Amino acid sequence: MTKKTAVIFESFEGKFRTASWEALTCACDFSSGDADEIALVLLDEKPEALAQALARQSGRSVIAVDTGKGGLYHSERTKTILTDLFREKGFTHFCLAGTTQGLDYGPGLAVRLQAECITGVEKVLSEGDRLSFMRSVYGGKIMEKRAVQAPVTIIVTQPGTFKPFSESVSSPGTVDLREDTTPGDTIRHLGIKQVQKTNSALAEASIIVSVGRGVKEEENLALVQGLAAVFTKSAVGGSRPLCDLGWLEYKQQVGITGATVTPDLYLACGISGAAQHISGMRNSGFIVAINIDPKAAIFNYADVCIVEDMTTFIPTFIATAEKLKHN
Amino acid sequence: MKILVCVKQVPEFDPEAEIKINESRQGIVFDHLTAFRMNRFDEYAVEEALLIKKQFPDITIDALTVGPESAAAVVRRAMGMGADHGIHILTGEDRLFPADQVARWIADITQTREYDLILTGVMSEDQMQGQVGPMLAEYLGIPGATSVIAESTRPDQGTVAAEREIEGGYRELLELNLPALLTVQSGINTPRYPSLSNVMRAKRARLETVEAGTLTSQPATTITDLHYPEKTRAAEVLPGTQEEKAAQLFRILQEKAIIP
Repeated sequence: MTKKTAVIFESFEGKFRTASWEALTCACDFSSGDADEIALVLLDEKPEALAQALARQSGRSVIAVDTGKGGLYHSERTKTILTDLFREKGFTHFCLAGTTQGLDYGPGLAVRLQAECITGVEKVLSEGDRLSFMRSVYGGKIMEKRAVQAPVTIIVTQPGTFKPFSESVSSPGTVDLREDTTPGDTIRHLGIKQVQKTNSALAEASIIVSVGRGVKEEENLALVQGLAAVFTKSAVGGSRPLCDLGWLEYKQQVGITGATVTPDLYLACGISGAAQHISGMRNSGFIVAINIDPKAAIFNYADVCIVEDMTTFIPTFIATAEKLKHN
Repeated sequence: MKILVCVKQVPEFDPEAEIKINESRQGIVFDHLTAFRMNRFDEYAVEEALLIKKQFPDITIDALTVGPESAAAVVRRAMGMGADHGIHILTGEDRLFPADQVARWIADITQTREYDLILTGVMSEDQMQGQVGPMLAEYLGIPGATSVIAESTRPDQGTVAAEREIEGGYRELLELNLPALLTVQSGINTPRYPSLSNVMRAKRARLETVEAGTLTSQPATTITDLHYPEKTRAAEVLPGTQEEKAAQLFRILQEKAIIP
């Protein structure tokens, strides 16, 4: 069966999300040869310049829909536009990034198209005519492989798992510019607000000491601060549950809804390794994980694994480092 | 005004225990020792409903779950927190259903009940799909928003203002017409513990149990195969005592020129 795939590109403040370039790589992974087609879809206000840039960088044809209204994302209209395009073009696959936007409209779009929707996709396998998708379940402790045989499939990729598309392109794709005329009046978009500044400490740090639920008590955070102090150019980050508890600030959160970081060293202390966290740190230079659970998912992403209780290991490490530094 | 909160029962594994894959490799092994509890994200949804009810006391809150007999416990838990009524869509012992099927089961029985607001967690901790909420909104033909981190319900205006948490420290500000569905993100509130008096009431209360219909369509995802994740890096496990591990780590970081 020939595949006709639409990759939905997401932009924010005039730039494409890296995760959208990753979704394009995913689409390339399961499209083969000359028969399969990939088109890119972009929804934005006055999208022409972005669409041209996209056609140049991807070499693919781009359908750009001018949605007006500051280019703000609107779930109802997104679903309507994509449903219309599906009817017109006969797409068999939609591939989109599992950002908070992709996860917002992907499942609803599947209902409209009577399609199968798979979220959190980390890998695609082609087995003859059948596509299989790998995704994490049970907090990353188990991988699930799902084979899909639906006529239409919506693939939502887990950010950070595919490499961003970077093939060299010989000639730019075509651009098809359109106007959006759908109403979508049950939801009104009132704007966007920034609730916390990007954490420059995390972005600039060469070493991130990151902490998860394994810290057990708020008082133990001092250990993590002490560990960070062993290094220069270091910062403390953490997983979402600690931010929800109020033990860390949300700007220290590493993961899908927090920061995506790539320090030289990522030291994960007491972090289980849920997919949401992994997406934000898996491309770090060197990863050391300390966790009392030998089966913790974080170990699958680590260069060095230390099976210990972080609350006792950190003091031991600090003392050892003191001693060895002077040797 | 009526609020529906959808809650899921998930297995609670001892963090240090291995999760075992069953022989068919399509599910995991549950035994008499497996504990189950309410999906954490759904606890936030229940709490948010209770906070709305505090503002508008004439609201009633229904808690609903889909699952086998034992799943009734999470409906009672929601009632222990303060929900007024419980609905249990009773399935067979199997716990894995396509998100689309779960959304349709819920849509089938809620269609005629005219809920003004439906709340649920942003995803389940076990399957981590985040699909039932937005699919349910679509089946009911009502507006929905996911990953909500703040909301303000205005029954008199027939709207709900919601803040969706998006990437990089930003929030999207939306206003939705009621009826609407919101999936809530963790951190939106601090879920309360059930109170003793509510727990006693929940224990006595009769849940409305509805048999789940047979699967109304063959799931298109036909084959599932579970396995343990592969290592993506060296994953060198340091041997020895804690002191030995600490010394090895120090040397490795020195070799990598991370420690001078």
